Amino acid sequence: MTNSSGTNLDSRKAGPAGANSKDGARSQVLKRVLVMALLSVAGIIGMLLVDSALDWVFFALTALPLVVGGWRYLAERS
Amino acid sequence: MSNQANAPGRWFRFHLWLHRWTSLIATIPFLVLCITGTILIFHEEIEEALGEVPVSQHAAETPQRPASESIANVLAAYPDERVLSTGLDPEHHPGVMLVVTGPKEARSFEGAKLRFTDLVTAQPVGDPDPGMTFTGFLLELHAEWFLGPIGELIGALIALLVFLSLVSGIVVYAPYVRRIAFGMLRRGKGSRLLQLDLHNFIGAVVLGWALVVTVTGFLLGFNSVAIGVWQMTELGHLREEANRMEPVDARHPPVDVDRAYAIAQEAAPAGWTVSTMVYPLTEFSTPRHYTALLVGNQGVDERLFRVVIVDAKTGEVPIVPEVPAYIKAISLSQPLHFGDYGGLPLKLLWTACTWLTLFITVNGAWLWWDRRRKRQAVPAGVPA
Repeated sequence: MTNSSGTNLDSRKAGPAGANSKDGARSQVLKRVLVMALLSVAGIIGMLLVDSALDWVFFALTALPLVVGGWRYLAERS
Repeated sequence: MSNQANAPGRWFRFHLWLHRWTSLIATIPFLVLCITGTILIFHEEIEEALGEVPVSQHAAETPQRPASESIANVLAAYPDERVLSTGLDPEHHPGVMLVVTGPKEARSFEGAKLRFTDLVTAQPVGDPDPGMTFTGFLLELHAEWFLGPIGELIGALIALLVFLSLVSGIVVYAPYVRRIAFGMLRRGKGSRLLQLDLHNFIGAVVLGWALVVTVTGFLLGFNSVAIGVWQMTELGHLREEANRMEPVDARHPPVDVDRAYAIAQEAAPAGWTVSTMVYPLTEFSTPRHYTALLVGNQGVDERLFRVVIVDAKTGEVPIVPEVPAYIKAISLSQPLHFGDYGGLPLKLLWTACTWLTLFITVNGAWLWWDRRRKRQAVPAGVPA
């Protein structure tokens, strides 16, 4: 069953979100997603502004969400 | 689950509505922008492979003829035209000079022709029509929708819609992420849940990139407007003064283009090189002055420009105007939008993010359509 947003209201059955111990961790996920996005933005701008060996550091920041996403995807599959 | 979570509040419902409709309205144009944008990321490589920009056949150290000779040869080849500007780009187009021409009475760059000359021989080597080249065609579609400045504003509107969709998407994502682990894809529970998980997961991954590309796309949409404002304000004062002075022959200014380059370079701040010389009597210059555009030699300065005004009669430099902050912001938006400043790794990352965004745009529209189809399939009176 899904609500008007298409969000699954039965997802407690599908995932472990019902467990209290994990509720706190889940509430942190949004913050982590936003921090990752901000770091990526900082990386994109940093690469443009700074012309030095730091380029690779900024590139790593830019690619961070993709890397974390890829890692989470593989972890969930296995 | 609490009652509050089961019955979404007004704040959530408003953002859900906003996310749905801004995304749906922008879907088709955004798809076009993603596809053309992916190709334009590699515009330099494509132009080189297709030979769209003429190149010099001479070694870099071969002595070059004066730029004024190139100009004379272009005008001899096209006697009914005048020069609007000249451009040098030793890094990307070494050994050739770009000469932009238009009809004798032209003031505007609208419909201008591009003529390239070899700096060693000063002879014309090609005149590609930017609207007819592959990347030129795609850029006109991507940036202007073939509608000129109005098309740029339409692009800004699309960017605004996508920005609103991203921001409202974060609000809609918040309750979802409390229930579904980041990266979890519910397989085997129906295509809708799998597509929803993919939509949210990929959306979270590309969020930062998408925000940058959207905000810069919005700013780039105001490119023509910003230049128009600058022309009317700061440059307008200079033009008023110039109108009280004796004009020069714009086809053959007393100070030739080589001298104008040298004078502008002398007046340029350290680390800046004259790249473009706009001739007198155009929309970007006065009837009396050249407008020299300078680019920085390293770092972020390579993406900015400065201006030096050169009197085409006396060779004096009456003013070195400051480029306003809004023009600088738009100049910096270009590389941040196209991701062409960090070599191949950044271009590949840009491509990956564009394709992921393309995917969630399509699957978001599918999620809306699927839900609508299922609602219509439910007989009247039966609760959904």
